[in-house]
Amino acid sequence: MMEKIKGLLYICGIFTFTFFHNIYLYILLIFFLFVLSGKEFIPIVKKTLFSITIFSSVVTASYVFINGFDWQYITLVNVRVFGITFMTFLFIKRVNLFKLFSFSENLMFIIVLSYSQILTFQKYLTDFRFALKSRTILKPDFSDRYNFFKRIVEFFMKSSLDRSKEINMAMKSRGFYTDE
Amino acid sequence: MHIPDGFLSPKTYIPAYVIASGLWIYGIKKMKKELEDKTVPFLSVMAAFSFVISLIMVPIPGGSSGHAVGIGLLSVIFGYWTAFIVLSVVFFLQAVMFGDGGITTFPVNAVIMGFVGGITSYYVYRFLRKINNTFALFLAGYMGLLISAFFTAVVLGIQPYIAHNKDGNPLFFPFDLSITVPAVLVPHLFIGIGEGILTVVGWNIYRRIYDGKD
Repeated sequence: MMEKIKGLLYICGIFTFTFFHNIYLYILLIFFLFVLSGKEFIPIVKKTLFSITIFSSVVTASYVFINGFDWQYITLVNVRVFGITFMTFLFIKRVNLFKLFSFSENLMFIIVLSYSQILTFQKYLTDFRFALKSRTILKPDFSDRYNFFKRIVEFFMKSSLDRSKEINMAMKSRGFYTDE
Repeated sequence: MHIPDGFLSPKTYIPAYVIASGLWIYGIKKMKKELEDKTVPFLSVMAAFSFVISLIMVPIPGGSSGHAVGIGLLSVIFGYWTAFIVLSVVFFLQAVMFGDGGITTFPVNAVIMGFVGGITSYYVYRFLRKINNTFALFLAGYMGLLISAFFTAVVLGIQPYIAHNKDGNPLFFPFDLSITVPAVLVPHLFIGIGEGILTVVGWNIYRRIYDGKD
């Protein structure tokens, strides 16, 4: 129940940031979110800045270049972007996403399984990159890079199709599906 | 192409959620009908596949490389409904877990890249495969990404018209269509090559694994 209340508050926060266009209100809300983040303040700020910097900088720089320095617009948009992104990361830290979607068993399984598979695949990809790096002294040429790309796609496609069958059988054997 | 939160107005993301919800309900029903109890594991693992594919740099002739999303590949192999649902799961996880995209832009990304991109790839391949299969696959991937990029540019470009203050100053994304369309489309003319290559390579690998031919 608590997860659902937090979810509702998060949606209200999104609406506040997008329906109202008041910089002072945003700053107040962000200050409140900072307080709520407690010890996780710095990691969440870092993650937020990492996530928004490129897109926001390009938009801001282009806007200044085309329209001149309109501090009100630049502050409004950047504070809003920062606020929503910070709030999203804080929400993810504070809420068990899997519990939030527990109202639908299928949805919960999809999120849990996808997330765990993504983490596994990410690790494999890192290993593949290290493997290529450790085996090449000079920058790989086009054919080497193309072969590397082809093998990776083949590995992940084969793994995905095999795992899909394995997980299905594992779920079946554990009684996740009831026969009609 | 992922738009972060804060650049799209409620006039955009609320209707996008309504449209996406309808498509998700229909798409999942369609998938369940075809895959039955295989839906959950298949969807989850293909979402992970699509996610990891988007992290791989596709080598492009000329010494460069670009990121692909897998729109064309998923669509030509599994159909556009599956591609849409799989990519929706990916975009959701990217937005909430990995900070790529946003929760207000998630339905827009899902509908544009997952559905519009998927349907484009699917029909481009259907229409052209009799002429030349490899060319059809390449163009399916290329066009899927390019059309998605075009609609993304349109969604961004209409923000100043639909969300502005009394003085006419923008409240969300500031640039109109005359800027967003070329700014988004031109780089994607190049990035689309990576998507096209991935579709051709992925399709051939899929056939080799499952049909025993190349």
